[in-house]
Amino acid sequence: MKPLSRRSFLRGAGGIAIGLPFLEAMLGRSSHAAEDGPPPRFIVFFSANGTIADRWNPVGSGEQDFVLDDPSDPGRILAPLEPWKDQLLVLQGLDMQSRNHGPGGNGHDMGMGHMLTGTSLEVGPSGVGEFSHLPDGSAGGPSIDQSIANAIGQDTAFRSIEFGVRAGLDLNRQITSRMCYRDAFEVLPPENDPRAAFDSFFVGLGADPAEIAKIRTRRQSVLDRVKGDFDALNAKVGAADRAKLEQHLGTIRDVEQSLYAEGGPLDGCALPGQPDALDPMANDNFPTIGRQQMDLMAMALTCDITRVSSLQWSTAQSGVRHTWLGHSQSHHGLSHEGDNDAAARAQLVEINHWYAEQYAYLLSKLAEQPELDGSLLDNTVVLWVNEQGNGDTHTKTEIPMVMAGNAGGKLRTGRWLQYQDRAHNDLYVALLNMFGDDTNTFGNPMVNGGPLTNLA
Amino acid sequence: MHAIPSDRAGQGEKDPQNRSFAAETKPDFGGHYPLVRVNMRNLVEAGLTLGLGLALGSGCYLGLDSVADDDEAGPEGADEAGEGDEGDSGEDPMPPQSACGGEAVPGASPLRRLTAWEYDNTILDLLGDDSHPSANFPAEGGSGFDNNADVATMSQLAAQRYMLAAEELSLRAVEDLGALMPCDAETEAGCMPQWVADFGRRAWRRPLTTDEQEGLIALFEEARGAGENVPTAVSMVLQAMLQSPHFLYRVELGLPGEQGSAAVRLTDYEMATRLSYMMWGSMPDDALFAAAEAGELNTPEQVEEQARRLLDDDRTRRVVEHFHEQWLGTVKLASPDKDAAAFPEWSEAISAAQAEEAKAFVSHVFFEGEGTLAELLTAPYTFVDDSLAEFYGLPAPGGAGLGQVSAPAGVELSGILSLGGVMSVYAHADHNDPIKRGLFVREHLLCQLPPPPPPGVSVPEIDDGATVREQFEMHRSDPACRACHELFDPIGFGFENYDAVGRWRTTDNGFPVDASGELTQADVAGPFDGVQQLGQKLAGSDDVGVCMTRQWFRFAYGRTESADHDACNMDTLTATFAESGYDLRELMVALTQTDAFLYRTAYATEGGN
Repeated sequence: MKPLSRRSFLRGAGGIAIGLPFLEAMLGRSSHAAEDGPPPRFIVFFSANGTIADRWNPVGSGEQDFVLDDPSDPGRILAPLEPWKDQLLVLQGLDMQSRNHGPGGNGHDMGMGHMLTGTSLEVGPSGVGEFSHLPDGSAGGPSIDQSIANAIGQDTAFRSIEFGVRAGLDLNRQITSRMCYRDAFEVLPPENDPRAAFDSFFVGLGADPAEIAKIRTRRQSVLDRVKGDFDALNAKVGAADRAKLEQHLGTIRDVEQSLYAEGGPLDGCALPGQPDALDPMANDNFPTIGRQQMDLMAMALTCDITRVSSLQWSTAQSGVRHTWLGHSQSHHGLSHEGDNDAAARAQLVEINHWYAEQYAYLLSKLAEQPELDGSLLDNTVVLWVNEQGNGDTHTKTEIPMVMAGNAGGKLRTGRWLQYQDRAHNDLYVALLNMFGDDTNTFGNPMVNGGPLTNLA
Repeated sequence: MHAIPSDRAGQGEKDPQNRSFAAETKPDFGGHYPLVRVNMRNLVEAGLTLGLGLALGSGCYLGLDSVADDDEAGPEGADEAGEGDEGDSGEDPMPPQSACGGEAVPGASPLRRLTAWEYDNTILDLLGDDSHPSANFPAEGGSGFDNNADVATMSQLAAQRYMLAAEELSLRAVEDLGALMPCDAETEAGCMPQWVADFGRRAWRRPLTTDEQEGLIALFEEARGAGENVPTAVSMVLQAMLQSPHFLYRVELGLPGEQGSAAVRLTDYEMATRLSYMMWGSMPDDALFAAAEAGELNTPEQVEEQARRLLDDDRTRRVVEHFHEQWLGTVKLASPDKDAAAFPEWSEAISAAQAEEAKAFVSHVFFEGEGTLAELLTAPYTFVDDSLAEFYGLPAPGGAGLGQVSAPAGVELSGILSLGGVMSVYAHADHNDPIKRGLFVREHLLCQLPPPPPPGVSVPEIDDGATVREQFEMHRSDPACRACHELFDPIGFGFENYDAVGRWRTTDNGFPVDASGELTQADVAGPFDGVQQLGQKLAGSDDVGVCMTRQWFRFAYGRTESADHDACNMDTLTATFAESGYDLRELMVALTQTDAFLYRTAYATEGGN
């Protein structure tokens, strides 16, 4: 039985198809009053298994005197970013110091769980499992993208949108598979299927506003009834069950709110083409799916459907085989041979170089969308993070990070910043301050050293 | 036939002096099997020499002290009797009695949401819709079986997907309104109320209350008042039903008016739902609904009769397959990680076929075979199609699809222990790993959890110059490694005749395979050579019988067993299972006869909180 597309719901029950014109009606809307300035956006770009530091580092003598593409050493990992050098910051030397506290022993649990949260993991009911994983544990607090969404996400249909590329859930390893959390044990799963993402996030885009209003009214009526059932049931169950039902009810309210929020789309906002039908979990479709997701992400920001997003390439301990690079071994397998084996090491450099190319693609999609006097990229911070420093020994020091774009001028880009013994929490505090949250700590207060002050 | 080990903790009493490996369990590890904690003291008590004990003390990393011994999943309010805010009868019914004597102790009874798998099955039964709507649901889980109620969490994405699925399913359903509804809602005034009652009873698996019916009818009326046509208005009612907690969760409020006891009886409808989800992974059928309606689903005998009826239905196969694909790990065959250069004959299609092989095998054991643990562990046959037969070097089954084939001379098959998919899952991308296979047996079949490796251990290179066994020699020669690795390496070596993609072999890197191994710390400890001998040992083990019981407990009840509250439940099950000759079908029936299944634990009082 072929699934109906979302658009079927827009047909009247008499089967009359309703056309889906481009957003002529919406295009006339100005994005934002010039006095307000464009809203800043935040994107996390994740890749796994650490890097090869001496092929990742910029080459040069100082903060502003460096290259990413060294002609005497072609194929360096960040070489694809040379054209973007003036619009980014290379952050070398930040450490996941929070990993020195709290439970857990497995390198990938620690990496993935601490990477965006900077705080101790939480053990789940099952305790500690094989290879020191915490099978049903969780990161211990909100991730930086969600904290930023708390500050800027209330005006858009979706607080945030999490995209994945073959970021499946290993039944026993939730912590290594997920990186976005509203709070401990409140994980936000990424959407791995571009077609499902298209249906979820762009539904109604380009439809007649009267039709959109009708759909909204129907959904509201249905959800009101459903919420009534939850309220009635909550009064009858015990405390633990009530907590579950309340959490569920909270997510229904989030969906309800998403029916009403109207952002201010940019002129380039248009209903994207429905992505081709491809198996999103097939290893060899990885590059194509990634492109589709990045295209959707860029359009979601352009249409102001959300201002916070993330792209998770696989999971920690990624088992992807980069066959399109001529590799047959998995990324994770290679990462544990790289320190001893020149051939494996070369392949790891190729893999990380490829992710740099993907990052460059995302930047180009954002840069080609004009916004006021510049581009969408000028008003977006795109942070590339990794769950490890050195993938073989699972070090959590010197996590390779690149931060591109700008928060409307709040970053002074085009520099290579080298840190010594600084916690990555300090970066996140600086980011939160940039996005309007004037907190002075993030994550585990014990490792916070105050926000990085040299980003501006 | 087999003596029940006498050192099991019984009746909820803990006896730390005599605590056996089997007495204390913790839920899943990276795998699904909560295991017994093998800690330092147990090892020493088990008879290791003092010298080795000292060596162990210095080298073997334990690091599990942070895991609480206390069970945190105890029943809500087991110590606080319900205050009874209804109190109308003036007479408290006798609290449910336990098969072990005294009041029934059901253990934790967490609210359970339908898993994605159960959702699809239920939609198929309710609406005849096989579109697999859960394909778009975000994956959930993280510990053991996918239905572990402790780890499922909701997200906005999931709520949105439930909404979109409900819309799509309902629109499809109203395309043929005449099939959905036997009357005309437009012209017959009583049509909609009747349909809400009838269909609602199936959707929510119990008769709706007057309030609930009125609420849904009001939704219909409001939509009609807003100008919606009948099919759209009906679809909206259907959407409300499908997103309601009464559809998405298996709500069990129990019989009203049960006072003053820790255990609460379920309504007949709630019992019907427990039975159908346990046996079929889906909603009750008409016969179960009829039994509930007639009030004939509340004694253990009545429950058993229905359980046996359901067991004989083909729908139970998918539950058996679903259990085994998780317990064996063959669900991972869908996303394999193999080095195609090392194994040019292997492909992702082979991996998928191996998953089907495992399903066909376990299904056969339960429904065409003898259904015993022994057969599961020692069967000298498997199920292959032409592509697998060629891959394994086994005789082709003939005909299309999977067929049963026996082991040819010189090849050992031993049930699940030699399934190609299982061997593949517990191996690396390009070479074997006795640790993984040894841990599979130790953790999944014996429910024992060795400690994790110490931090900072570096894994040496595997090369082509020797057999895997020889290269793992350091685990035996270095006392710091041996204490822990002795628990699983010697078991894993027994599988060396199977390569990393599940094929039988007699040489390894040009050297002859040595599949001799040793099983320790079990009631059937001793040396063995190859998987058949290992299978024979395990098939005769009461420890394996108890472990198997634990696994089915977790799967059937959607939670982990607790030493504090599930002693009677576990004792009843292990005794019945053993007495049946470890008949797995009898275990499934026995699972419906425990306090845990027949009752639920009372909620804590509201006022007292």
